[in-house]
Amino acid sequence: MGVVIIGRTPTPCVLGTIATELCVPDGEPFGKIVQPNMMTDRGIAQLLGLFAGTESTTFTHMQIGTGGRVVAGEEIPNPKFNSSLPESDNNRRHLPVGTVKPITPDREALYAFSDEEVAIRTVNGANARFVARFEIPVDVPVNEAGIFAGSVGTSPLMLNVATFIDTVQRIRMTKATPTTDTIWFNVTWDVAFERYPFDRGYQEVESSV
Amino acid sequence: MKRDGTGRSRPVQMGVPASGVVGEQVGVVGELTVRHIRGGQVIFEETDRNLITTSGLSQFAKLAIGESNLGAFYIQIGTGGVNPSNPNAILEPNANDTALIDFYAEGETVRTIRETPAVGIPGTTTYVPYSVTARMAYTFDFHETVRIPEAGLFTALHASNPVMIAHRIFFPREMVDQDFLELVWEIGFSRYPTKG
Repeated sequence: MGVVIIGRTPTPCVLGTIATELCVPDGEPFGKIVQPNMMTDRGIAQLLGLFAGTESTTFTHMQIGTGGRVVAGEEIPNPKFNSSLPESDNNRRHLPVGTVKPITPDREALYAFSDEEVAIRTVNGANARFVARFEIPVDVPVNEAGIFAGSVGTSPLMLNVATFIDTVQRIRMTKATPTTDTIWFNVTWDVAFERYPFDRGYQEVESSV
Repeated sequence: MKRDGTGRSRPVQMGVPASGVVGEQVGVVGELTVRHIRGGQVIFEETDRNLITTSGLSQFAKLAIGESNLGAFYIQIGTGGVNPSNPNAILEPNANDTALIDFYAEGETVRTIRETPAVGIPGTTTYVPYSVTARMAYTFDFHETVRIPEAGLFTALHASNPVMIAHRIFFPREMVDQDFLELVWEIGFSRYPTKG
């Protein structure tokens, strides 16, 4: 893949990684999942606005939601649909129920907001960390999250977003049997400005030099 | 890389095709244009890559969470950057640099943001992703003869021990009285595809 880069080798990158886990209150965490996120267009523009001093609102809040998967009655276009072929089980016009909804860089909000917290924010080197704990009902399928520049009532700007296996399913998968009606959902989100990302499985870029 | 002082600049690209998928890298990319003006004429112009320092990357993280509100507010120029034993050889900036080698002058930048909307359909070869670039500019005027081979992007005035965000050493410009040196720094975020 021919890629032209700017900046002395290697080019720094912004990489977002979200770690989610469940935890019975005051118990041991379980079902931890670590995965990359999607940095949104508006999010990176806001970051650069902070850098240039044209913006002043920083990223403070974390939201979780329940709309990350297709539910019955929803018609979400299938990005892999081939209109030149007949529609079939292997070539669906719309994503089937239960499918993780696609995430694109132009996203500006979660599909279905559920809850938010002010994140605990720290910087270590060039890594910005956002940590939040949500107390969620055990029967509410949380499956999406995002970092925002303000609380939900202010229509805040979204920096990044991720969808994941919902919490109800994760409880089932781990065969955990919560004895309470609620469970803790812990999120640790790292936004790293890294110079050497390649050892994390990301593609090595080519220099134009 | 051509660094022979002929004014030739390499073609650069601030936005490249991307897949628009989760986990793709967003590159932090920067370049500096050096424009030497004498008698109202541009006698030298060169655009080349910069080095974003480690402290500059950390500054991005601090800005994101609100630990700092200082961005790329100042450009400094310096007289260091040339190999003392060979005046025709220039040094390379280092990721751990925190200051110019030899400070000469500074100016507060004029800053703008340029956004370029995505064009086309994600996943196709003609797709051009959304990109955003910050432009920081300052023009220095000179009243003496001096040789300028380096520039840096800083968060604050030199006297306040600012964070150096980016550094570039270029083929020295011989400035004389009434000359101008226009520096235009562009730093942007650009998506590019992930493995697989």
